[in-house]
Amino acid sequence: MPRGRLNAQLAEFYTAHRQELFSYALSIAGSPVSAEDAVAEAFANVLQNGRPPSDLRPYLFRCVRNAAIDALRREGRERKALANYAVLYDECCEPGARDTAADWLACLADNEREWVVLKIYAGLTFKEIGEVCGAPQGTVASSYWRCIQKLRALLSQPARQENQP
Amino acid sequence: MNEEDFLRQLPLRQPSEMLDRRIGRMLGSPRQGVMARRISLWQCAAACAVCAVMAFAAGVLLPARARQHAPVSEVRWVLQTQPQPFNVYDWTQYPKSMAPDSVLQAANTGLEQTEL
Repeated sequence: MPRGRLNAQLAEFYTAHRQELFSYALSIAGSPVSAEDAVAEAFANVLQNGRPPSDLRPYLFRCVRNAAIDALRREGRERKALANYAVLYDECCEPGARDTAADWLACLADNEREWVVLKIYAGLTFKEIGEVCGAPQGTVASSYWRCIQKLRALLSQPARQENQP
Repeated sequence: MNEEDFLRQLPLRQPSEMLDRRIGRMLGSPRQGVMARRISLWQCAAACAVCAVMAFAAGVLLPARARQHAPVSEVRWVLQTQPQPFNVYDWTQYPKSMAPDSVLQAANTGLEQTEL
């Protein structure tokens, strides 16, 4: 593919999916600076390869994932160390709601959280999530619904506590 | 409201303008390899003209330099084809006036051409 056309295709993709890519990188890397580095690194890798696959979306999300995990390793941090997922949300967001969402995400396992972010914030299909994370589509789908049930249980907990005398 | 809707409705943190600029710089000005760069027609024509002038100049000047002190062509032909019977004299290095008589005589008679 000619360089100019590849650049135009990537620029178009970035404009359409910049928020999704950034949020996904942020959910892994934990800091906005590292997340931005991961997104830029992913695009640089695709440019360097010169031949993007036919389906660009899962490929670029996978590149972002790898770059974000590499950034964590470079900083000498574990993925588990990211306790505060409130960083995902805008500061204008209502603090209570932001903390609740952050708590929910913190309750999930690493791969479950990744799947929830990819599904809800990036709008990927289960098949694409499987391609990004290297997991079978069926496993992703069933695990995702288990996550939702887990979140539902968490959501109902305060209500039950309030109902108790 | 279910869990997905609750998570979906929260405003997400936006990437900074710095990222937009970085990606814009990366994708906006593709750096091509030297051999892959496009050359316009007028640049090609200019290069051709310069090359032709240089080649013409080289073709005129280099043989002229070599012939600067050269003898007449017949003598040079004799000396180059059958140098053994003669006292070989390099006309390109020394003036014709300093050539030995034997060489000049042989060159003028043209006998050597008949012996070939």
